Order: sequence, then structure tokens, then C-alpha cells
Amino acid sequence: MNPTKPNQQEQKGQAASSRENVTMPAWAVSPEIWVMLRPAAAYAWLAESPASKEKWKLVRRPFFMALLIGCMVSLVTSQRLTLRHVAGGAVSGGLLLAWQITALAIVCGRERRKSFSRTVDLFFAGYGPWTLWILAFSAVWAFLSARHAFVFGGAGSILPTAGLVAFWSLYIHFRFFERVMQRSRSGAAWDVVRLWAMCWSVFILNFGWGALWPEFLRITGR
Amino acid sequence: MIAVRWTSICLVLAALIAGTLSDSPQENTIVMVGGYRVLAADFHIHSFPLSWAFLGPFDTVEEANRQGLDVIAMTPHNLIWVAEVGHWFSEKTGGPTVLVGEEIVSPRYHLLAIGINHTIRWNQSAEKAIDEIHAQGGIAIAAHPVKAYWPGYDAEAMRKLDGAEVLHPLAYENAKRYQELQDFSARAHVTAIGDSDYHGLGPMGMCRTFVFARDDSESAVLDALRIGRTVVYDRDGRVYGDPQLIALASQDPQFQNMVHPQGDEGLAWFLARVSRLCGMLGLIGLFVFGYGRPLKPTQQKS
Repeated sequence: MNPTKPNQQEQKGQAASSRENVTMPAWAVSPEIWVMLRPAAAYAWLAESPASKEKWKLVRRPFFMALLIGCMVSLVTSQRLTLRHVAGGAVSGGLLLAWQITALAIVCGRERRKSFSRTVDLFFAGYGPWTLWILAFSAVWAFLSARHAFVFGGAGSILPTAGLVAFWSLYIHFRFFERVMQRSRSGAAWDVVRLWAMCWSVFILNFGWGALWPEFLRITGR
Repeated sequence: MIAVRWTSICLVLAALIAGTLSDSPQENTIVMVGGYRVLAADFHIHSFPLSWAFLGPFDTVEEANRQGLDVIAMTPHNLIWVAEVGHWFSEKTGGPTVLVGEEIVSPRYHLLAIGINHTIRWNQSAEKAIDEIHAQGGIAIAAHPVKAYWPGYDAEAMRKLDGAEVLHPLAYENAKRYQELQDFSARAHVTAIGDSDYHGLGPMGMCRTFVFARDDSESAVLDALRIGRTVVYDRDGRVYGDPQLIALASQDPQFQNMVHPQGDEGLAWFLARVSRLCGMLGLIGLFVFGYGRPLKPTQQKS
């Protein structure tokens, strides 16, 4: 069986049962927080909730992420929000987000049960863990002296914390494909692998191309 | 919910306005000590793309200006074109002196090649890389030479090296690494260099080198580095470099102002704090309350 094509009965069963059983908890003040903490239930609910009729609302999440990246660059670099840093960071971050949207389009293919803009909106609702990480990282550099910020927000802290957030996001993306795109478990896992391979390879090439091969040789001891 | 959302948007806008207003370059006065012009320099700066950095080359030059740096060397990993873009931009805009460089990242060593015009291969010994740098009229500086990289520098490479980073942000992260940087410099007897290895974290020039040069031209800076006319201060007051220059500089009040810059003052100080506080609160507000609670599935049909 092709893992990207789920069993139809399985899909229908999953969707129906999720609609019947899920209730929105009182603490879910925003979809991001709900998706972060209960991705399966939240995505099952959100997949059935109506899309906004206002078109701009369907691109607000990628725009917010780009703005957030710009603000992070500015706060980390100059401990304030300046137009030039925010704009520069938002453009560089926006390019990566645009590539993620392209990768999502490739992975989703033509088997779309919702409009693509709605799919993008729901996908970006799963960026809560990265948003929290960016906010925490920015706060460390904005409020601590550079000397202390290097201890708490230097390379030694970035890699392990970003690794944890990446695993958290991995699970959320799996639930996104399972509940929103209504893939089978194996199909959802395969989609996440494809999406992450595309996104992270471009991210790593974009940022680290210059030293990639020698660093690989150093780490592997060759 | 809507009120909180709009308040958050207003806070972010206020932060942007306050931050942009406070974003002015530090005033650089010309300081002369012992007949030399003292230049604040950072010789290890990375830019977007391809080198794990946030800021693009134009913004990097602007930021160097804001941090009061007279000289920077842009050192992308194993390539130089990003540095050439920065060099061109700074010349056009009257920014700081930008030296074209490269951080040669090899599995066994990291070496800064400053003042070069062609990329240097990373898959050769440190000694041969240093020879190539010198052939191009450049300067070779050992980048963050902590213990893991010591085997990369054999006796010949150590003899040919021009400088070594004795101060680097690693010094503030880890005392053991700082000791290793000092041990390497003591062994190499080369020009003392303080660099921030800037990837976008913290202030550029946080670790900096004071170069005593004839003027602020590229050739004058490279000459001063060859001869060892530098002084480096760490934040605990330890000083490295030419002992005569250290003695001269310690008596010069203008130079001491350079070593301990005041940073933002008065209104700029206030606006910067307003910006960071309002910015963080606004972004948190937008994240938590920006999208509101989702509509119920049943509302779709009605």
C-alpha cells in the first residue's frame, strides 16, 4: 500500500470519532496553545471549524512568524526593535517560510480536502513551540547583559533547546497530517519525513553551506 | 480579547518607533596615542547567508557603525564574496573600514585570513594555508584556538602565524576555554586579538581589538597587525598586547573612554528600554491572544 494514500474507511472513522469526542477546553485561549498541548484533539476540532471569510486572515500566521523572526533578530542584535533589523530579519526569515509553504504544497499534492490557504493557516497554527522558543531566546538577549546572555543563550544552550522544540514540532506536524490532511499513521509519518527533509536541508544549506563539509568531517573524525 | 489584541499591536508599533528613534551610531572621536591613531576593530564577523548569521552584509556594516567600530573584517566560512559585498557597501556609504576576509574552516583548525582577494582552500595544512594568505598580502589569525584545534597547528604553522584570538565570547561562556585561548597565545607569541566571532548574538565588537595604526586605511591596519601594535581588554580588566602601548594607553583618558564606551545615554537609553519591554509584551500578547478562540464546527453550517 502506498503510505501517502490512507485507507478511506480508516479516515472517515477517525474524522467522525474526533468530531464527536472533542470539546474545546476553557484554557485554550488560542488555537496555538491548544495545538501545542493537545495537538491531536485540537487539530481534529480545527479541521472541522469554518475558515474565516476574510482572506487576509489566511496569511496572518506566516506573516506573524516572519515578523517574529525579524523581532528576534532585532532584539538579539541590538536589544530593541529597530525598523532596519526587523525588516531585514523578516525578509530572510520570510524566505525560509515561503520555502516551507512550497514544501507543504509539494507534500500535500493534489489530495487536498481544504483550500490550500486554509491548509497553510492550520499548519502554521502548529508553530507554538517555535514561537515560545523564539520569545524566550529573544528575552534572554534583550534583558540580560551580553556576558550573561552568552551563558544562557549561547551556542551551548541553543542546540539542546532547539533540538527539544524540534521533536515537539515533529509530533505536532505528525498530528497535523493525520487529523487535518486525514492521512493514515504511516502516511502522516511519511509526509512529515518528506516535509522535514525538504525544509531542513534548505535551512542548513542556506545558513551553513560554507563550512558544511569540513564540519561533517570533523564531527565524524575523518 | 479584541482589546488585548489591539493593545498588543500598539505595543509592538510603539516598540518599533522607540527602538528606531534610539538607533543612532556612536560618535567616534579620533584618539591618538604615541603618534598612532587608535582604531576599535573586530576581525571576526559573519554575515547572512551561508555562515550561520542573521544579518545581511549591508546590515552588518550598519551595525558596526552603530557599535562605534572603526574597522571590521568580514569573514564568511570558506568563501569571500559576502565580505566583498560588505566592503563595496561600506565604501559607497562611507562606513567603517571593511577588510575582506574568510574564516578557513577545516576539520583540524579554524583560521582567519584577513585582507585577501581570493578564497583559500580549506583542505590543506594550516602551514600551507598561512603561506597562501601571506602570498595574497593578508594576515593569518588563529580563530578561537581552544585545545581541540591545537593539533592543527604544527611548529611551522605556529612560527608563521601572525595573530591569535586571546579574547572571544567563549571566554564568558566557559572559564576553561578562556584559559586555553590564553595558553595558545602565550605559546605562539603573536599579535593579541580580541574578536566577537559575530553571528548575530549580542553586540558586535563585544570583544574587540584596539589597533594602533598610522591611519584607518586597510594597508595601515594590516601593517599594524603584522608588527603587533594591538591592545585587547577583557571585561575583568585583564590586558593583552604590546606592553609599551599598554603603558602609554593606560595614561590616556580618551583611550580609556574608548575601552569603556558609555553606550546609550539619556533619551536613547530610555527609548531602548521602552522598545524592548513593549516589544516583548506586545509579541507575547499577539501570540497568546492574537488569533482568538476558534469558531465551533457547528457554526460552519449556520
